[in-house]
Amino acid sequence: MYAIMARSISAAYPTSTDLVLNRIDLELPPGELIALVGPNGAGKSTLFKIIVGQKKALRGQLRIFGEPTHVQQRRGVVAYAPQEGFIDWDFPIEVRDVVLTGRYNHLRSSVASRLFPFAINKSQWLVIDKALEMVGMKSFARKPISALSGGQKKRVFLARALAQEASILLLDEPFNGVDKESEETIIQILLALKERGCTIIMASHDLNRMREIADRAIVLNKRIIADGSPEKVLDEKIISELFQLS
Amino acid sequence: MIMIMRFGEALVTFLINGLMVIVNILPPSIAEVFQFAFMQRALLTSILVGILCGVLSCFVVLKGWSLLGDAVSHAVLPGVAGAYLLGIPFAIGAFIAGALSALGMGFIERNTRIKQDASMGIMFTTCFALGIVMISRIATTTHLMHILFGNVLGVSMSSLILTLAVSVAVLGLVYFFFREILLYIFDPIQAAAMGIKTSFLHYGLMLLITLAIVASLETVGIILVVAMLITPGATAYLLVNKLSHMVLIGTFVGFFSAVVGLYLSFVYNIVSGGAIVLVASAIFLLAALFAPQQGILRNLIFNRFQRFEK
Repeated sequence: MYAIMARSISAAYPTSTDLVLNRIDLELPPGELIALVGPNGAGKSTLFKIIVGQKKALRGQLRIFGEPTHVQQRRGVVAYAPQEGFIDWDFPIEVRDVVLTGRYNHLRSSVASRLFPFAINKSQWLVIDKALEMVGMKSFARKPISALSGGQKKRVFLARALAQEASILLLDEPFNGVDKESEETIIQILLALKERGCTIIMASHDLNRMREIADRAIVLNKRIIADGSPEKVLDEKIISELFQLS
Repeated sequence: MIMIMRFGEALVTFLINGLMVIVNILPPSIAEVFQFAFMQRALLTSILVGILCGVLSCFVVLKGWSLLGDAVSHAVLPGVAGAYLLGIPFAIGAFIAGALSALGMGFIERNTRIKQDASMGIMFTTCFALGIVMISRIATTTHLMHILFGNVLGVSMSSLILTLAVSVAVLGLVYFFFREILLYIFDPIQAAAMGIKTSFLHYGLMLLITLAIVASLETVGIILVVAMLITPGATAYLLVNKLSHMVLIGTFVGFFSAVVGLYLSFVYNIVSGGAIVLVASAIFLLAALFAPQQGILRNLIFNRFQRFEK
């Protein structure tokens, strides 16, 4: 069964008639690291929003492990790490509470946490601590997110995805503004997750990185331009033409 | 209906008696002000409104909805005038008008190329103009003044019960949905990934704000309620780095300015809504100057030191 299967998905912004996504077909099996490449405005973030279920497609069909998105949503199957610009970094929240937002689907099942939303079970904090430890951010657990550097921010959101125990991971620009050390940590974790059967999609401009670590590359510019092995698809010539067009 | 009113009255009396126990501990010069029945009702209303607006103001500030509160509060006016014409309670008319305008603004923003500030501007000035025109035809100017600027000293038992009911409902909803509201404001895409109905939360929050505005009509009036829906949250935002703490501080600022403002308005014979808002503004100013991490004073000193080190 495919982790993500899209049949002819189209999408548009509400105030415009132009399609952001034009008949997207995808068949992504579990346990693959996929690079999603395309110029700005190519629809990468829109595709992510549709997979997550935040945005509805105009037309087409999307199945996540064979089921429609709203069924999978409640189980927290899809984890999402936003690009830096999508988050208000002055928001009053501590690092460990960010990671806690990945545990909401686990919290929901208990009546006690519905009645006492501020009493978080010890076992939850253990999961969160472990996730933060894996990305090397445990000592930052009680720090506000405004105190983090670019790489640390990415690692915290990766920890959230880990704590969520999701089977599909969407990463929007995971290597933007990231220092060397954070980058290594992030790649190690992604490879480990892939081994466990996690499907990972990375939207990125970092073509060299993508060629190194991805199993498959999809070039998107409102429709799918190319889909295949990174060496073939991420050819400098094709890409540079594509990026100049935009 | 009568049963509900009886119950509400009993609850109000109970709360006022409780308040008076605390008030009577205070020095006699302060306590004597609150011996009048109308002052006791005013005190309870102000406290409820202060807490209610204090909680919601945190979400308003973080969501960037300051203009929304402004817009909805002005849009409430034709609802009040309409309710007066039809002879139904002000609050019902106000709520319907406020809710419709909040939904209308969301609709315009989502479906046209007009940006949020302009859509709000059009919506609330239109409603406000409509309200003023309606009122100029039907009512005396004193009514208009009371709606615009509040008259907490003349608060009636029925509107006090309404304020109490709204407060309990809003605070209860905020308590039970705190986690969801937090995630929706912080990271709406993750909220969707967790199966949270984000459009439900979006309009739900708007309706809670509308309810708070309706409940505040008689205390601070529709113009100054905007301040109570921004200032406490903005003050708290300067002081802490955790949303739950921010809500607690916002609540306290709302509560404190309501009580102190009411007291000052009685002692110096000034308009109560204005006094309450000015107290809140004064607290904000103090926080802006002296906040430990974000304060202007701290930044000045910090920058001076840095220059010195160079």
